[in-house]
Amino acid sequence: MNESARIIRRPRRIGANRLPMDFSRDGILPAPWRWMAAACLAISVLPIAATLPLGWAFCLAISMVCAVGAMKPQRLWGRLCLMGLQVAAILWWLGQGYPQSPMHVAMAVFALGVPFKSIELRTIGDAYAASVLVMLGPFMAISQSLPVWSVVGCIAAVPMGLALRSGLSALESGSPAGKPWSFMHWGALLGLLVVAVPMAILFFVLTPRLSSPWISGNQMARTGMSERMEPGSMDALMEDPSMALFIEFQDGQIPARSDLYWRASTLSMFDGRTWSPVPVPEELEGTPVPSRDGIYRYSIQVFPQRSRMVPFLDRPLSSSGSGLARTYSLSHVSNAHPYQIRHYVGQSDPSARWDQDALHGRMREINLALPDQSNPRTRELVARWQAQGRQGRDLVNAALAYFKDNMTYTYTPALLGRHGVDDLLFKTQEGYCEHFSSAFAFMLRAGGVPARVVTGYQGGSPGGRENEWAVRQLDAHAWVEAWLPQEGWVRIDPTSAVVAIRPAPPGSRRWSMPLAGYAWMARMEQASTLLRLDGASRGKTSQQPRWLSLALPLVAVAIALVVGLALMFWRPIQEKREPQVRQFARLRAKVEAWTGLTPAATPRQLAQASRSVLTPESMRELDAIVARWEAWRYGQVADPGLARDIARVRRKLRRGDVGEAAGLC
Amino acid sequence: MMSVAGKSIVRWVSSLLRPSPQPLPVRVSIMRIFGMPSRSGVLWFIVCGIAMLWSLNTSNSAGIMFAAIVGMAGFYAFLMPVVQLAGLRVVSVSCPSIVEGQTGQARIGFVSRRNPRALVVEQGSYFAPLVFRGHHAAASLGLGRLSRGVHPMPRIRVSSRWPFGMSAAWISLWPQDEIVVWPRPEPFGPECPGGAGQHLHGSATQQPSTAQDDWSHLREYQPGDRIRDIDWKRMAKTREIWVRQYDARAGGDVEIRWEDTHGLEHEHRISRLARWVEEASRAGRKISLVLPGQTIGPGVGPLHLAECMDVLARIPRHE
Repeated sequence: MNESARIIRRPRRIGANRLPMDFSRDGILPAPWRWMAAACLAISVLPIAATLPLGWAFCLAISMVCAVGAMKPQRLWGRLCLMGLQVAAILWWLGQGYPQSPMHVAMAVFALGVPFKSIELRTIGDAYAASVLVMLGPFMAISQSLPVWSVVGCIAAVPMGLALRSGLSALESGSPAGKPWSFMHWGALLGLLVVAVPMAILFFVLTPRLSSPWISGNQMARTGMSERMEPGSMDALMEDPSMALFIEFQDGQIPARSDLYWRASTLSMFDGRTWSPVPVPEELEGTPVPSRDGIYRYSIQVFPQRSRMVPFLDRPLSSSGSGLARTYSLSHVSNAHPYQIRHYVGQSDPSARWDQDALHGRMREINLALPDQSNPRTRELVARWQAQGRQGRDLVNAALAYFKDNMTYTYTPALLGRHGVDDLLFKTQEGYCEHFSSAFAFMLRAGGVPARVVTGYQGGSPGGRENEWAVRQLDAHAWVEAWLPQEGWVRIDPTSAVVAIRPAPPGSRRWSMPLAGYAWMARMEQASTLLRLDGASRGKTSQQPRWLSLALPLVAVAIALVVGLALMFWRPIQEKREPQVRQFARLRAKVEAWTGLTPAATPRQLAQASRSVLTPESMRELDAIVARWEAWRYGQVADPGLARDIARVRRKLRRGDVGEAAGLC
Repeated sequence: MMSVAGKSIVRWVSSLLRPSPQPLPVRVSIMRIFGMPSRSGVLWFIVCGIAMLWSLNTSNSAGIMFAAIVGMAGFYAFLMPVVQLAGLRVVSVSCPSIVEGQTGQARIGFVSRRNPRALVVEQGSYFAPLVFRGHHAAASLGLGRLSRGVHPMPRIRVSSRWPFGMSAAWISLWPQDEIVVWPRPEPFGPECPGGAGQHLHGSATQQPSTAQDDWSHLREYQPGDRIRDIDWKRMAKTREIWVRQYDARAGGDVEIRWEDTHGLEHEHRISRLARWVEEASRAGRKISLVLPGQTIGPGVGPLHLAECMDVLARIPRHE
């Protein structure tokens, strides 16, 4: 190559050459690099799109946009056309009524928006920008608590993006950069692991967490249990797979599924449509007394939600945690902001009884109050039962039997009119837990049995380890408590009279993968709580920080950091050798060991000297391979299979009978 | 008014920024390596920062961890270019003689134990990739058009953005060397008073068109002889290097004197002397260059030509 041809003159610009920041960012991006950048963009958002309703359509659209971008950077025309298609696709999707929450809409717009960078991958600078965008996908997935496979899929795009960048930095400096998919730059990623990961862990451990958020954000964006209930209010919740609670049982024992009612709100006030808590809490109804069956001790993590309610396993006997307050009738609220993960400890006994025999005065009034002249047909039905002499338990059973015979469980019930309970019981006869519990409580109250609605979660799924349990938003549930003489408040779940096992919500099959993966997130929370240095949000969790467990990771991280830096600065000299050279060195080593030659010997001397020790075939092969080696090494003769052949000769090299060879000499 | 300490700090900082010429080999001092985030690096940190604030705000540990790792990748990207430059040395600067009006270039040799990647070496508006093979790298750097005389080697800058292009580190180096720019021989003009023999038109760099058998005798090769004068056939036979000699053909010495250019402008005189010297050398004659206060030669051959040209180049510009 002519030397002068390599001198590159840059156009002189004002201010150019002040900083070496813009060599050839403006250089045209070669095609393979464009493909790689487009692939990174696609990978970073595809797992997010796949979690959306109708995700396959999004994945298709994203792949299409990235493929178009990978082929050729588009002019304004092409971009506008694609952009129009994108807007049309999102509008169509919205029109179908798919999104369940504003977050779904945001995710859809995001997942379709990011790949659009791929259609303007013209310069090296564009590819750099794309590699920054690639980070947004994983962050979106993490911050929205998407399923683990989605998070992992997105994160895969980050090392890809970094590998792309390391190639781009070689490309823009005019150095040989290889192909983007060649693994030559993955060495940089390895260095990154050694240096950056320990520092990130240190940072993670030492960063103080906020006791309350700076910005509370749009709380409507996050679904969650509301503090009120009316039929239909849980619609959005039923399909939300995000984590609601993560529980660790202390004694390694998980209650039976039929006991897994997580109590959040107790709702006694009824205005004909909406159930709400009693505004001024009054403790007139007594407290639960532990039974002999056993008490469950557990720590509970409440994931970000809309309300300040803190669910505990029904019935909670004691509870603690920072800012936790017990409100009306075993409900708990916390003054910590609900938009962050909170930690509490509780003790519950599912079969606890009430220590009071009768419900008095004001509490009785509240739990029997019904709006006047509402739902006349229901009242009529209940009056008929009463006339048949059904009271208390009998009435409850009659109502349950009615539900069992007439009701159908569905996630898409018909709308209810002014007399909601009448409509449900006699007209539509379909609904889910909210409809059933609301109507059921109404019937009991109409029949003179004090009743109230309790909302919370029911069931859940194993959380990974034996003693861990995870509850998702779609486990939201509502049931009824009725006051029966001599029994106190008794839990009655009308939904269970309709269906033995709640069917999975429609379209929820995509959520049906095991939730166990979420456990890592919860465990990370626990670990960081233990290690965290700020007291504010540590709360009164069951475990106090163990100083050894705090010190050990810190020491480990510090050592890793020092070793990493040392490795980086005092890296041994390493030259990448061609495979032929490497193989020949191994061959030499073998022959040198037999002949006692030094590394200074030339290959030909080596072949000469080894005559005395090798078998005749080995000798011939060695001569042949040395001749080929010399031709390749010194004569620049191309020899594709050389490395392989050298390795073969080395393996087949055999020593002759030394005595015989000596005799011949 | 700045205090003494303030002044010395300013002097120290400016000495870091603009080093003085250093004899070879020039070592990179880590104190002199500077770094700045690049445009996409700034973008990277902004995105990281937003992710971190969001995660802190929502107390999302996974998010905090993610933002921390990605942010530390940026930190690593800050560290690596500096590490790459840290072990660098300039071990050679070779600057072939330049004739005024031509674009010169210097070939600069570097050594680094770290086998750094993706370095760029720059000078003025010229830059060249610096590609290490093993521990060595060399780059040919444009010097621009220079006027006749002796110029100091310009400052060069070596920079790196590897591995992630998020930040650039650079160092300014100033190897102590000089660039000698020969005078440009005037294109036309009178012949040398002593008679330069055959007059050959053409540019200064054009080599004499000697036929294969114009030479008078052979002698053994000495460093500095032109490669094209080597008798390859004989070398193949004898395994020794022989060089053809033409000097006896033209015969006679020529004396090129400063006084003979009397009446011309200073630079013009030098450029005429350059032409005479070049023509005489091309004709294969023995040249003596007589300048005020010094005489070069008599001598013959390219080395002698170069010596004469060097002397002409070193004549101060204004008298």
